[in-house]
Amino acid sequence: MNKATILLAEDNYDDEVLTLRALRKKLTDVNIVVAHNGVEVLDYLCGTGAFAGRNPADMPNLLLLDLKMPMMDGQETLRRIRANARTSLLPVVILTSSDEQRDQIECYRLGANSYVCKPVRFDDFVKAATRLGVYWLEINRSPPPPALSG
Amino acid sequence: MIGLAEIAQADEVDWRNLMGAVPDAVIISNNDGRIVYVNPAVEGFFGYRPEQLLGQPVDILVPRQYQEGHTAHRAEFCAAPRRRSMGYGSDLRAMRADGTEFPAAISLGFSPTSHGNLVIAIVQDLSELRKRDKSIQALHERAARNSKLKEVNKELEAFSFSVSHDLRAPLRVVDGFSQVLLEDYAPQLDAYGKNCLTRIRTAAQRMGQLIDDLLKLARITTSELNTTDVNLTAMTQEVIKTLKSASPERQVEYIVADHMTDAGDSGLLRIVLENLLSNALKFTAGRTPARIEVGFHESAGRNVFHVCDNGAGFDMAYSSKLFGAFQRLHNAKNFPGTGIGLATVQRIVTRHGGKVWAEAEPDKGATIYFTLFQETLDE
Repeated sequence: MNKATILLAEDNYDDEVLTLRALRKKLTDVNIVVAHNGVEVLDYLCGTGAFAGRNPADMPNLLLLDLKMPMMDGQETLRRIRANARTSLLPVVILTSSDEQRDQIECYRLGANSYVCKPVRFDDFVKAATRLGVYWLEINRSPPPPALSG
Repeated sequence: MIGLAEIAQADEVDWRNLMGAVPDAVIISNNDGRIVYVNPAVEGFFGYRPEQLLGQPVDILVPRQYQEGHTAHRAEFCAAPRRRSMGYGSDLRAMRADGTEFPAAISLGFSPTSHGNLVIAIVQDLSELRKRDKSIQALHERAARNSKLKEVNKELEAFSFSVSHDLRAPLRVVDGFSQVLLEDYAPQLDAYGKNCLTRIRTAAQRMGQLIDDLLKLARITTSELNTTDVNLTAMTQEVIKTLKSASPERQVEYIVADHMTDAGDSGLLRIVLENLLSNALKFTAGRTPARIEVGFHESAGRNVFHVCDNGAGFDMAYSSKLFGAFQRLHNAKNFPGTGIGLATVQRIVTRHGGKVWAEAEPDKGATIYFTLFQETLDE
């Protein structure tokens, strides 16, 4: 069986390093790909741009999506993912610093599967990342490929 | 059609009777500016009986500071009379018998006679109109203030969004990389180096807590008040249950009065109870037995609620600082906190139109009282 893949959308390099570190604490056998904005996320999912040549049928098991990103923010990215039949069922977890109810409501409305506010305390962040990874990669069943490919 | 002449002849109507029916004040003066006729309405406007005015210079109806100018204007008018209205743009002032003034609009006309021009002045009292203008202006100003307030609220929301995201992110980096150093470079760090990193992390985490609490406070100010009947007894029991499961090691005797209800926003009132009860729990640490009582009494037709503990208390000399944001009366080591709790309580109580106050004595516990009184606002 192939290694599980997490697509991490994060524009800030420091946050990227820390999130990867937090995720890797327990999830040692996971493939983590980083996209730095919404455009790169869509490129990855479609095998275009920086990810030209990648097989788009090969969907990640989970997208961890930051909200505040340059070029295309998280909410717009989510809207496009849900609008595309091929990617519409992809499990998307919002991973953000924003604890604003407005953002939470909007993300759920756009079809986010989960909303996680990154804790300031790194220990808490590691705990959250570990639980989140375990739940989505080990407990949760991803949509089967035919459903994803529409 | 029957003309005025025929009607006048048949009914003995003369011009005096017609003038008597005019609701505005009609004043006729001769070429010398002396009053030769006033209609009955003049008495209501100026407070003079008609016979008091006959033969008087018309200037006595003008406030003293304008009288001199008025005499000159009158002379000009008589030299070259023309019909005109005055006082609709900027008010003219007229003076009553008792010396008080009122805003007036005056129409002037003239009628040449063998004794020179008769000047006819029709005076309207604009007091009521101006009063109405003022209240309309006040309404406009209030509407402008409200829309400004909405704008400020929007800005505040945008600000808290930015605070929420932009301030938290770098703190996570400070805390995270300090932890990375502690984990990956432990062998290279001596005890003091590790201690420094721990201090950095503690400070970052504390600032994170401050930001969170500040945001909560901001949300209370901007969120809509949703008032319903709230069962405060049941709500208190729920909060106590949560506190018990969060600190199962604490032995506390809770006493909660029955039948505590009032009108208010249940979400916000829960925050009040959470803050007051967790404060009481915090400041009774080390007491045996620790005792926290929630109750109420009636005063002047409204409920006065209280949360009372037998904890550390405080000196009433500092009570004015108690409800300010970031104000703390105890040291952080013994009683940790950000100093936002009671400021939050006060915000919520004030938004309900109520009051909050405290009574305490060092080492003998504290009681926080609050009322909820939703005033009906006149729109």
